[in-house]
Amino acid sequence: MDRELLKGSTPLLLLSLLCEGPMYGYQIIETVRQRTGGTYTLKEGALYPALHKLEATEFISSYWETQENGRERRYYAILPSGEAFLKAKKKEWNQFVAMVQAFVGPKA
Amino acid sequence: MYRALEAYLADVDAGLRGLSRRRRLVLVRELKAHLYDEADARGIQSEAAMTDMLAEKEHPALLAEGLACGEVEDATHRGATALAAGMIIGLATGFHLILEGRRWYIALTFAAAQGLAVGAGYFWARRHWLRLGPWARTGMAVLATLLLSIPLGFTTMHGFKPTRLLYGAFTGYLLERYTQERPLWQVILEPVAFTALMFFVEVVVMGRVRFMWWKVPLELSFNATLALSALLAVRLRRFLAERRVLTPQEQG
Repeated sequence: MDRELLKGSTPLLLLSLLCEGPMYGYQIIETVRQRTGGTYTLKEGALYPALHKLEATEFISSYWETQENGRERRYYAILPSGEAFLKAKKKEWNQFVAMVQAFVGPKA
Repeated sequence: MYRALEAYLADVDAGLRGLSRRRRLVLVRELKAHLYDEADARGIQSEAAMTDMLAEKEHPALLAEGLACGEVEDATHRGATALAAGMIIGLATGFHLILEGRRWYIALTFAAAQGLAVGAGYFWARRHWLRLGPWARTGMAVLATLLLSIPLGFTTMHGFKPTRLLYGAFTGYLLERYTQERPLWQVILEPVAFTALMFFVEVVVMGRVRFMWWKVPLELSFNATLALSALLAVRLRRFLAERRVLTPQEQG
């Protein structure tokens, strides 16, 4: 897949995932890989700066949790401001997809 | 701990040298947790298998560069937006005091204390209570801005004026409440209710001033200016946050 097409969409993808509940880094990478059938793989170098950016803009928050085996995980959870932003952007995204579809879709 | 993992994390840590020690520790701790999660999921139990897994990863120097770059940008964004939003509040309230005919240096110090200490300070500290519920967040905002407004108490001609702290607390209340969706009648009613509270405290509780009707529109317009500037500050910050989030950042 052309990476240029994906530019800027990572934050929306992450916010959509976090809408389903708090997640930790590896869980996010695995979920993305599974849902895209392996066509899109997020790497740590892309994932964490994107998560930290969303945290700095107060769209998500994070907390540490210790597992039963004593290991720690940092969970990320969406905040109401993140949900509001995602809702607005989803609407824009659907309009954009419909517009592009009109030109490059099967009926075009 | 695996030696290969230890070496990988040490290399990442070395690449993060420009950041504060505390931030570096958090980033490395998070990466370590991530790699252990992946190792567990892949059933890795030997040093050799861990070495193979790490060989698939980004080069530690490149990974550290990406993380550090994002950190610097995030810190700049956080500081700059807090300052810009605080300045809106400071300028609006300071300008109102000049229009009221207060001495310029009182207006200036009030604007600086209100904008920089209370406004920017609130936006800077807010991330620490983001995970609380709406009312707890509001309570924390009021408490924090009450403390941050101590310099505001000295912006008078006659030493420390404790009622000035209420303006700081009100600013914190407004800023926190404006980040939540709320009905218009509440937005309108708040400055009115706060004006009534200020008169009650100053006239009835403290007996500092005599009540005069002509003071009511003056106080009300000041509080309405404060509320409007707080609303603008929150909107500006949200706008800048959205712009920042939508700035492409694709490295993986």
